[in-house]
Amino acid sequence: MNAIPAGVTLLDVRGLHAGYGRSDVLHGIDVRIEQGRIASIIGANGAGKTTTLLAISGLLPVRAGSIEFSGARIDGRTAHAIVSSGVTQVPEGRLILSQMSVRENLELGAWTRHGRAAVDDDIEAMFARFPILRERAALAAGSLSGGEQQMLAIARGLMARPKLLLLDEPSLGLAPKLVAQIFGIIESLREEGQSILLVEQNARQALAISDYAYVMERGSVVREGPAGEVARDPAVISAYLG
Amino acid sequence: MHALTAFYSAHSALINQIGVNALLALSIWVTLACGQLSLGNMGFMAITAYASVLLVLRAHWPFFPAVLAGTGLAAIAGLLLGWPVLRLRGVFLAIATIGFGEIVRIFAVNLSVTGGAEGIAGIPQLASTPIIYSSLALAVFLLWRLTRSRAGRAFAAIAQDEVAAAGLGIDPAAYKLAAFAIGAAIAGYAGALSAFSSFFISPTDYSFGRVVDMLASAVVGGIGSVGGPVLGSILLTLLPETLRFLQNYRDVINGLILLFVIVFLPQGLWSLVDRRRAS
Repeated sequence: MNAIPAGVTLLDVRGLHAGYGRSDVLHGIDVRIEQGRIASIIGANGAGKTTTLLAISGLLPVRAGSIEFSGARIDGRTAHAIVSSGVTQVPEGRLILSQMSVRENLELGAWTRHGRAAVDDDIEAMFARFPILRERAALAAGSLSGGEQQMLAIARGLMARPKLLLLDEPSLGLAPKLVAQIFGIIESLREEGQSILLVEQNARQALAISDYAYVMERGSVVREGPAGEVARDPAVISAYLG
Repeated sequence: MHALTAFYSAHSALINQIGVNALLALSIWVTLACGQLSLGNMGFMAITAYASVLLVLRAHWPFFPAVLAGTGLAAIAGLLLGWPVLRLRGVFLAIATIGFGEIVRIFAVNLSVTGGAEGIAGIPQLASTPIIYSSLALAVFLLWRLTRSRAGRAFAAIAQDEVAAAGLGIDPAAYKLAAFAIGAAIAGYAGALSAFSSFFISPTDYSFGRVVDMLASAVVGGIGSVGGPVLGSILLTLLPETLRFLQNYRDVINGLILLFVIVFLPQGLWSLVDRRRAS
């Protein structure tokens, strides 16, 4: 699927500062993602997790620091140019186009690609992975349930064939059974070689499927390491897993 | 056949007006289709109208080259206006673009080449009914094609959610600028046709009320499809004429009818056509 061998650095974020208005939310974040792995950022509400993703995907300006993707600087590029370079974000709150049909949403997900036949094949592949989307294909995306919309958002993100998929709180607001299903899907994507940066408040589930983890507090990374080690850290357990 | 000729000669001004108004409603619809409430189209009308009339009267250009040159000028003005207002949304964009329209009008009042407040008289009647309606047919066809194209899907995505569109890899700035330029060109072209089908033009032809009419036509007709603004223009142009017998109460009833259409058909008149086609 990808020419880059697993384990090689895909995304390298160094000293990232970003924020809204006059105040910085991020105070120098370092995040590294390896090819074919899942890295997750966990932390409480307001820790700066979503801000980190918005800065990486170009939806929020980078104030200081650098973001390197596949060896090239992408900070300062526009959001649509970053999608073209291979980074696709599945945003929190999903941002599906609610008045368009499920199929139209999937087609728009492949906006940066060329070749109609390959796109149609991928839509079929998404329907095979998410059978409920096939049943809902002609319906307005806004009429879907929360869990279905999240599946559509992930499927739409995958339609771009991203080298790196950014997932922002995919389990937010979903029933426990659906949460398990979404995490199962993320795990199966990793098995297929998809590199993923996952942002989650649901620390237990996120750590269980991740290779590497970052813990964020008030705009800084306070702890990082292999997900298994982070999950055994007493401070992390009492703050996020207790 | 004779009755038809008699009907046309009695109503040709009104028939031409419907065609011009339909083009104007389409001009504002293009930017609406891309999610932009741009209300400066009376300014683009004025730019093309004055430019093409002056080219014909003073520089003795033939009709079509003069109109096309004026239309190109409006498109450039649309890009120049579009660039600084790219970051504005909703009501802020509306106010900025209204400001542009007023600036153009005030220039027309104060410049000597535009004839000041009195305007320019003695414009030849070069925009015939066939020219107006073939232009309208071409515009409808091209805009219909646009909605079915890749650009049309980008417009629809940007109109629904600009951030989501950018997150899909769509360049919102480029498509918004394109919408501004296309809308400006159509408004300008219609302004030229309007000028060349009346004897004179003056700055009052390009006041704020003009763009309110365009917006009302587009919304009453329905902005979901290219047919809506055309249908809306027919209604909004004909309604005051057919209500003439009400004399002083004409504007009141006219306003009430429009109010009822908006309340009971929020998707516009065109939704009736779509519903019939669907069933």
